[in-house]
Amino acid sequence: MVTQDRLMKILVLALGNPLRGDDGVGCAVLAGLRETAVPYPPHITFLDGGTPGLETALTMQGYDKVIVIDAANLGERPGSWRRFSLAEASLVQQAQMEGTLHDAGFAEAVALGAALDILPPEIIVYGVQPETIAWEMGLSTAVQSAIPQISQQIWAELFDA
Amino acid sequence: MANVKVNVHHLTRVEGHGNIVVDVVNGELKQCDLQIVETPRFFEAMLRGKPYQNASHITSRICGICAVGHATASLRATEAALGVEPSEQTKLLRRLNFLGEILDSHVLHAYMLVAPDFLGVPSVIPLANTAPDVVLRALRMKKLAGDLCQAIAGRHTHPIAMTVGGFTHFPTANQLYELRDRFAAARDDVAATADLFQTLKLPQFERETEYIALRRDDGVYGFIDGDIVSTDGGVWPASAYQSITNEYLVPHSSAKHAQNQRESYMVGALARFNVNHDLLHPVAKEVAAGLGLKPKATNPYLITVAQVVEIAHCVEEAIQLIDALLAREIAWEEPALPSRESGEGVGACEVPRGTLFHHYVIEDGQIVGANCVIPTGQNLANIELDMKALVPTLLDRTQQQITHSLEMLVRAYDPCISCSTHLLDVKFE
Repeated sequence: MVTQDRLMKILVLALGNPLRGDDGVGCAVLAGLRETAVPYPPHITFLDGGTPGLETALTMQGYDKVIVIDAANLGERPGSWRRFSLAEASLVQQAQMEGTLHDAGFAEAVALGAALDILPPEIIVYGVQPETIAWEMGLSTAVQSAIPQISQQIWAELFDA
Repeated sequence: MANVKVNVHHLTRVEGHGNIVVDVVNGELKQCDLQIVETPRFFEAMLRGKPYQNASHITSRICGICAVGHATASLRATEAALGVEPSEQTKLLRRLNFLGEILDSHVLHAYMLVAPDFLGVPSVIPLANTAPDVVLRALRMKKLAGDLCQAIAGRHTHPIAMTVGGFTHFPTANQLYELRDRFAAARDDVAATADLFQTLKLPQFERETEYIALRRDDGVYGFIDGDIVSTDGGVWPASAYQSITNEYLVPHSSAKHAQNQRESYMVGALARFNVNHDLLHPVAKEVAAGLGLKPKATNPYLITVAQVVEIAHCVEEAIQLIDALLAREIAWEEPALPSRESGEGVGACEVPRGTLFHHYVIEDGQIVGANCVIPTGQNLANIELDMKALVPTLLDRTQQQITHSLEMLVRAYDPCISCSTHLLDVKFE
């Protein structure tokens, strides 16, 4: 969306840990986008967020739109990916769920941001189904081969709109 | 109650996977374990064969909370191995950066993980509805800490400007002036934090143990470098860490346990307070006095109170360090160079949860051996002994109350059990 007087402020936020196999997919996609987007347009911020917690609510504050790239358990085959808005899917809060518990992640940050009413109007997630998130560096072939398509769609979303 | 069975799978509000298993039969404690199901055993494999320049960048990704701590311990290990002597400016910048991470982590733990237990809410998210000013204050302090780390080293969770021998990027004077103003304004938030924690009623439970922390000989309070000091007496150089940690395997946990002069020891904010209280900033000492924290403090629930004291210390020392950096003016200097390409070294830091050791063997610029001992691993045996002492005092309570007390005890240690992954779990309608 381009308004008369200013471009929409967009944050492209990669989440995940490249030491944990396919959890590094966000970083890998972001690195590619960064190389292609040089020089960076001033209204777009590319951020390798790593594995932050609740502070992501603050990281996103003030942007008109946030595009998150992360490994996601979609219940599909490895390398599958989906683009969805937060209205289209519910993120399971790990910290409140029995069975798996990691420290607070993106789902908790979104819940906190919503409770404080500081979320950006539009949050889009590109979720990629991992094959493995064991402690090892490097992506599986299935996830690696999904990257060009994902990058292309994000690129189009950033620049062709 | 003669029979108690507690089985908490995957503790909430603990960083990682941990189970509590307690079994009391006819009033006798049969089992009392903190079971750990995940631990970074990959450390050496991750670094072996890599150029030493990559080690801090790789290890900073181990933990989303202690990224600066791992990076700093890693750099100090490499610098010890290769004979690198960083400049005075590098030391000041690293220390300032480190204070940012301690502040960030302590605010997270005290406000987001511990305070809900005392404010009668299940987590920080409903707290945002009932007491938004408290949550916004916590986030404001976290943001300040994060912005400090970003100005010095790049993103907090990815401190890319930190390198062997120095930095590849420097904050501008304007950034430092702005940060100084914000830290000065944060003094009100520190006072409000101390007030809040003064009102929270902590469980009464005393169990004295051995308290271990790094202590520097130049009058500076903890955090980077120093000797290993025990409240039971004893001073060791960081390079002798293995003679203190004495790691051993236990059947019910995939994480090793540690012991020094007793069955267990404690590291972290309370251990640092017990070892280094005389070196705290006067404002932090006042906060400690106001909260009734006195050395030697032996109630593990006071770890959070010691964190609040360190929050006050970090804000005051950050102001001092920013003033020192502004007075000397930031120079764009090249990182100090190694004096050799092979060697062995240990780096030690006091990260938010306690003493962290990185140990590298480097040959011809490549890492050929690496070891890492994390604070939570050192605390595990001590947490279990606390649980064993606590359970018999709780037998007249309900199962639910016992479970809650044990969860609060484990959370007080702020354990960081797994290391970071943040896989999203998505359900489509």
